[in-house]
Amino acid sequence: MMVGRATTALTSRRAASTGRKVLEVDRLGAGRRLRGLTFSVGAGEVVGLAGLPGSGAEDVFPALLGRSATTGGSVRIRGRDVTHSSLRRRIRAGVAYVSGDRRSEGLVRAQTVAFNLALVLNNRVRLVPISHRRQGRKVEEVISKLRILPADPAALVATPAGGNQQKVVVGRWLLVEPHLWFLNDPTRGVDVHSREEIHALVCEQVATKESSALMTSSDTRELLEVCDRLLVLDHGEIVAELDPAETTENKVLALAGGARSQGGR
Amino acid sequence: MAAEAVKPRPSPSAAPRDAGSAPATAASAVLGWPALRAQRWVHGRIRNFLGATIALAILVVLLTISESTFLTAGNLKNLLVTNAALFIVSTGMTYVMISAGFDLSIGAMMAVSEEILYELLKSGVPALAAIVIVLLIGFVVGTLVNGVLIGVFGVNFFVATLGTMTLFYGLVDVVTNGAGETITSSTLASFGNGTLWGIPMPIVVVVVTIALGGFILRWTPLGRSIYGTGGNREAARLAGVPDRMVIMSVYGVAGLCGALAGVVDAGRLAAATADRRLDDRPRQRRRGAPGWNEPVRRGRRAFGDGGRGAGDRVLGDGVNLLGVSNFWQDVVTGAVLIGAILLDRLQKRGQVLH
Repeated sequence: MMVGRATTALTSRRAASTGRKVLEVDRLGAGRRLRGLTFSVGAGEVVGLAGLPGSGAEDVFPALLGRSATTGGSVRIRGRDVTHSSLRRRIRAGVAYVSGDRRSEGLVRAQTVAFNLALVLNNRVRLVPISHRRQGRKVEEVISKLRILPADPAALVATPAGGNQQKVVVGRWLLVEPHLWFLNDPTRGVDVHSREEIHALVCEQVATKESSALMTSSDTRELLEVCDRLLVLDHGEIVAELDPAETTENKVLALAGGARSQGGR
Repeated sequence: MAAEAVKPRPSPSAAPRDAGSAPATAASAVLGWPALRAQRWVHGRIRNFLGATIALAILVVLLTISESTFLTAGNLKNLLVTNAALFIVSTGMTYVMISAGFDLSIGAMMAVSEEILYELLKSGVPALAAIVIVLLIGFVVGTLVNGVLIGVFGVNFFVATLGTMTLFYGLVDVVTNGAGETITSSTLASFGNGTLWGIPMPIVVVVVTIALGGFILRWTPLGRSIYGTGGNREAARLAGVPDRMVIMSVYGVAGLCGALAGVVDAGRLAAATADRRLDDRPRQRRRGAPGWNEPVRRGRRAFGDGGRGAGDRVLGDGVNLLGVSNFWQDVVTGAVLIGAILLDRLQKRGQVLH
C-alpha cells in the first residue's frame, strides 16, 4: 500500500507534464488481482505496462475494457467517466483494442480481409445501405498503407501469414481514427518485418493523430523500444515507473520480480 | 517465407505507408481484383451449393423421366405455392444460422401467428391491420423471448428455442383445444390464393422476402454484423459490434418470418392450423438440422438453405406422385437426405476450414 501511494504521486506528476490526459485510471480495482491501480496516459504518449505473469498486467485490459467486474476506483477516457460503461461505449469514446490473440479476439476467420477490416465501420444494428465501393476504397488504402499481403481484399483472412493477419487487426482501426490504442501484446507470433511495421504505424498514429497508446507485451524489449514511459506492475499495483531510454530489460525484470519477493506472496 | 526475407524492405524507421515505395505487387493485385473476385464468387456459389444442387438436379431428372406430370408448369407452380411458407421460414432460419444459432420455435411461431390472426379477425379487426399486428408480434416475441434468452442471458439456443417451441404449441393448444379453425377473410385469402400480375401471391411474397433478406445481409451494417457475430462473437464484440443486439434482432427476424409464413399459410388454407407439428415441425427439423452448422463454419453461405428446402419438398412431392405409401415417404426422404449430407461433407473434406 505504501508503494502504491508513492507511485500515485509520481504518476500524476509525470502526467501533468504531458498535458491533456487521454486515459486516467484512479485506484482501479478489478478482477482478482488488480487493486488500487492508478496511472494516466497523456496525449501523444505510448505507455508500456510490464509485469511478470500473475502480476496483474494481463488483467489491465479486461478491466479497462469493462470485461471484468470493477471493485472500485474509476476510469476516464478523454475526460469522460467510463467506469461503468459498456465495451461498446468505450470503443465509441475512441478506444481501439488490438489483441495479440488474433484467432479468438481479433479475426472472423471464415471471412475476407475486406470484411474484417470494414467490421469497425459496420458494427451497428442499422439498415442503412452500405456503400461497398466507398468502403472498398478505404479498405484498399489500409491494405496498401500497411502492405498487407496478399494485397487482395477478397482473400480469406486466414490465408496470409500471422504477421499480415495481425496487420488486419491493427489496420481496421485506421478506418475510424481512434484516440486511444490498447495494444495487448500486439506482435505476438508476428514476423520481424510486420512487427516493425506495426510499431512504426503506432508511433506514427501517436505522433500525428494526437492519439495515445497503452501497451503490454510478452517481450519486455519491445516495450523498451516503443514506449515513452514504462510502468512496472506487481501484485496488481504499479511498483515503478521507468524511462525506457535509461533502463534495461534486466532492470525491468528485476523490479517486476524483486518487488514480488519483497511483498511475500 | 524465404522470398519474403530476400525482398528489399524499407528501413524500420521509415513509416510503412510512405506511398513512394508501395510495392508494385500490391498495386497489380488490386488492379486484378474485380476479375479475381468475380471468379471467386462463381466458384464460391458452385462450391457452397453443390451438394444440394446435385441432389435436387438428380431428383428432378429422375422424376421427370418417371412421371410425365412432374415437370409441368402446373406442378412446379403448385410446388412453389404449397411450400411458400417453408421458403419464408428458411429465410428467417438463414439469419439465425449465420449468427451461429438455430431456432426450433419458428414452426410453433407459425401456429401461434395463425391463431392470433384468427382471433383478431374474429373480433372484427380489419384483415390488413390484423396481418400487420401478427407480423409485429412475431418480431417482438422473437426479439424479446428467444433473442433476450440467447443473446443477453446466454442460454443455449437449442434449449431456449426448444422451450419456446413447446410453450408456443402449448399456448395454441390451450386456446384451440387442438382443433383447427376456419378463417374467412377475403383479404387474407387473396394473400394466400390471389395473384399479382398472374403470379400467385405466395410466390410474390417469397421472392420479396428472399430478396429483402439477401439485401439486408449483404448491404447493411446489420447484415455484416450478423456475419461477424456468427463467425467470431468475441472478435466482433471487440471490434465494437453490439453482439447482443445482433443476436436479438436475428431471432426477431426469425420470429417475423415465422409469422409471415403463418399468414401466408393461413391465407392459402383459409384456416388456422393448430396441429402444425404433424406436418411442418418434423419436416422443418429434418431439413434444418443436417446442415445447420455449415454456414456457421463457413460463415459465407446465405441461401443454400432455400435450395435444400426445395430439395426436400421436391422429393416429398415426387414421392407423392410416384404413389409411394406415406410410411415409406419418410424412409426414402431420410435416405436421400443422408446421402445429400454425406455428399456435402465429402466435398468439403479437402477444404481448409478454420
